[in-house]
Amino acid sequence: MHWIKKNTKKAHNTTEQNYPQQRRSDRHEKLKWHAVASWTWDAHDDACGICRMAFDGCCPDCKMPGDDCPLMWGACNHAFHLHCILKWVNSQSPRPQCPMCRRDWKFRAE
Amino acid sequence: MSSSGYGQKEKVLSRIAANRLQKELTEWQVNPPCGFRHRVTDSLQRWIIEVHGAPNTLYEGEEFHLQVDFPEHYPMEAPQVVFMQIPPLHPHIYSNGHICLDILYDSWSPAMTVSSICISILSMLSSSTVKARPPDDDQYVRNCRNGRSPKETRWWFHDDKV
Repeated sequence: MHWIKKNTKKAHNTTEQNYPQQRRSDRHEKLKWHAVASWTWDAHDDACGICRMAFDGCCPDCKMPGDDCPLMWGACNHAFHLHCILKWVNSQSPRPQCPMCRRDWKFRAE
Repeated sequence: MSSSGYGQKEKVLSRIAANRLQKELTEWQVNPPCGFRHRVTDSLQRWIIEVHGAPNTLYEGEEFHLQVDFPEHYPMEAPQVVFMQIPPLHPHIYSNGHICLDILYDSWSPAMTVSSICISILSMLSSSTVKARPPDDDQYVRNCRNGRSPKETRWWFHDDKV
């Protein structure tokens, strides 16, 4: 038990002795850093049933996916790009229906 | 519905409509609906589609042609779908090619596609038990003589069996 402990200590010391100089010469300073993350909409389909564009992309009116072109869910749980479903709902007053299941369209309460 | 008149009155497709139709055409080329063939033209706004009567139905071996015209704001508005030349003899298809099918008018949804329309039309043909024109064919066709679009007709959908 004692021997192992000693040995370990020795190894540790060697490392300490060899690295500091090398580390000093290779030193980089972080001036700035970029965080990279991925995201996806939690819809059950890949593409909007109205414009057929991918949910992870945006509707044909927009340039950037994400907060500028959000998804919207109906009470029936069908999702569309907000801009797409608004166009349909506004053209169908007074009783718009879900394009997928024909149930009366109601925006799902979050 | 004014942007989808019969014949030459259509406005050009919006960018969104063109975008979606291009996607539909690509999808069609990869996976065309069974019994249909898209005739290649240089127009995205007017599709000509060959329809082949399904085996073991009254229309087996017959070929028909659909003309599909897309409005400026497709898919928010339904396309205009008519049979060209000699339309199939069917109780819901008039001799001028107009088709009495609810999804083409009141029951249109922007989630539908040319492909899904084709399947509905073939299903309507295939379930027919009699080769006959609608009872009011003469009167209806006379009323449409000025080239009226079927989308301007006030359709009465009463029979969901054929």
